[in-house]
Amino acid sequence: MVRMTSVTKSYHSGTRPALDDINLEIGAGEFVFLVGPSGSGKSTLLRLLLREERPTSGVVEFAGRDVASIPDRRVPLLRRQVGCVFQDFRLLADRTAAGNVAFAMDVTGRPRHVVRTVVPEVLDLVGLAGKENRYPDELSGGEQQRVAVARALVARPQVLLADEPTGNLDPATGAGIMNLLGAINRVGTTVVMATHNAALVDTMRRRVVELEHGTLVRDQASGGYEPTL
Amino acid sequence: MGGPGGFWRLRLPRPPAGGNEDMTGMRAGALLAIGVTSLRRNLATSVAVIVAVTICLTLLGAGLLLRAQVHTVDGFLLDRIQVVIDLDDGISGAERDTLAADLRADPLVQNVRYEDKAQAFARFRHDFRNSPDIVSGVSAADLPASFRLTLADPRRAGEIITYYTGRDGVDRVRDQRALLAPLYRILDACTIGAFALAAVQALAAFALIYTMIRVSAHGRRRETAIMRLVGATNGTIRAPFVLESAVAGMAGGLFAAAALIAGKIYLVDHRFARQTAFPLFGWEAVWAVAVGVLLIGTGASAAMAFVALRRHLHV
Repeated sequence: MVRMTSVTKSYHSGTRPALDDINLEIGAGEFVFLVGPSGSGKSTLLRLLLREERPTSGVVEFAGRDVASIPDRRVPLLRRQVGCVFQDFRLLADRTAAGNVAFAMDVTGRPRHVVRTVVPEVLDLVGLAGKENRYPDELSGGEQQRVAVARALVARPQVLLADEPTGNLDPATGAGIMNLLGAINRVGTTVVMATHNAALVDTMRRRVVELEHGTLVRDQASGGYEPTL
Repeated sequence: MGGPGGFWRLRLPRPPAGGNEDMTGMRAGALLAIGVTSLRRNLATSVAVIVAVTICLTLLGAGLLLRAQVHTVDGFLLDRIQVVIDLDDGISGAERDTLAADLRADPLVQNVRYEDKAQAFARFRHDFRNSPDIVSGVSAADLPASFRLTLADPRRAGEIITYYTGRDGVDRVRDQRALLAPLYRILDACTIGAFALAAVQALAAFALIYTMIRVSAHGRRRETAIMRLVGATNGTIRAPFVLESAVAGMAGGLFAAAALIAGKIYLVDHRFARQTAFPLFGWEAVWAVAVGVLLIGTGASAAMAFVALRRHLHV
């Protein structure tokens, strides 16, 4: 699904690259934790997958296609196949939960009748039934993140990227979001989650990819937050 | 409550085979809602844009109508004699016949008409029928007989004047259109002035649209960031901004068209029509210019927004 071959990303020549010679392959349907201290290159890696950035050298492939070579006008199609969720939720404050999800469908040209059917369904799936008409400031942090997940899901992405999705949530709420992402993964969506949450990583026992100073220092199946022998 | 366990029954429409969705843009209704909300949110800037566009287009329209007026006067005069050859009172019959024959053979001259003293006096009395004092002081003997020429090309009157001035029996050769030179100069000056002011105002309008887009793009940066994230096309992301500007431009165009129509009714038809002997431009010109400023206002504002977006919106 995702393959990175000798990927290096430098923002300014002369300084240490944000990513240095990364080789990584993520299969369809996998769940991968991306761990490492702040500034280790996790977000840069996610941005390369979204074509927010292009690698300085090396090749980033998504579904067999070189991401950097996708023409600009086709990039939106890539982004419809790669959903994302962020630490700060990124919801529109002047739209309800349903409005936020509908917005993603509206701006990608979905017909109105599809929007009307799908929005309540997907909000129900993320556990927000009955809260469709609440505004973000009337929802808890966990509920806001569920809206963000619902918004990412309506395009039926093949990959879901989550950048510190539990970073702003208390442990119990974070675990709820984690379960939601696990459920999404179980129905076949590849999930790549960057996180600092050691407890979650240790509990889930999924594949762990660790970055440090832009280099890949660990790629372990069923790993924990800290390296184990 | 579905809960995570219900994911197996997720019934979202799948993308078509091949994994690529088509690049359809936003529905018109959704687009309009975003554009209008944005216009309302930036009300002060939007009003400034509308005012600037209105002034710019009114000046542009006024300039175009002045051009129409020049054409109207031109058309009026083209139907009339452009060059008059006044004859000496002492001209002999033979001289007159030679002159007439030369004129008829001249390729620059389309039509020649001889007017004797009696006919000249009759026309004089008709032209000044509203001024009996002037008519009473003039008799047929005071007016010269003349050849009145219509030229094939009125702009070559100078050649005719040079060629026939000083011939035997010719008193002088007059280009009647030359009498109107001051009028043309005024009309031309007004036209140039109107266009120049319109150009300055267009710059102001552009600066305001640029600001409007900048403010709007800043106010909606979260919205546009989300649009990019969920895979909206560049066209879709830009469309609400272009629409916002086009709506402001169209409003300016409508106000300008209204101002021009009001000008035609109150200034041209009610005031100038009584003060001049020349025909004034008609409603066809006004409608054409009104439609023109409306289209220019809408189109140019949208285009200006497009230019501003290249700078202020990263897609």
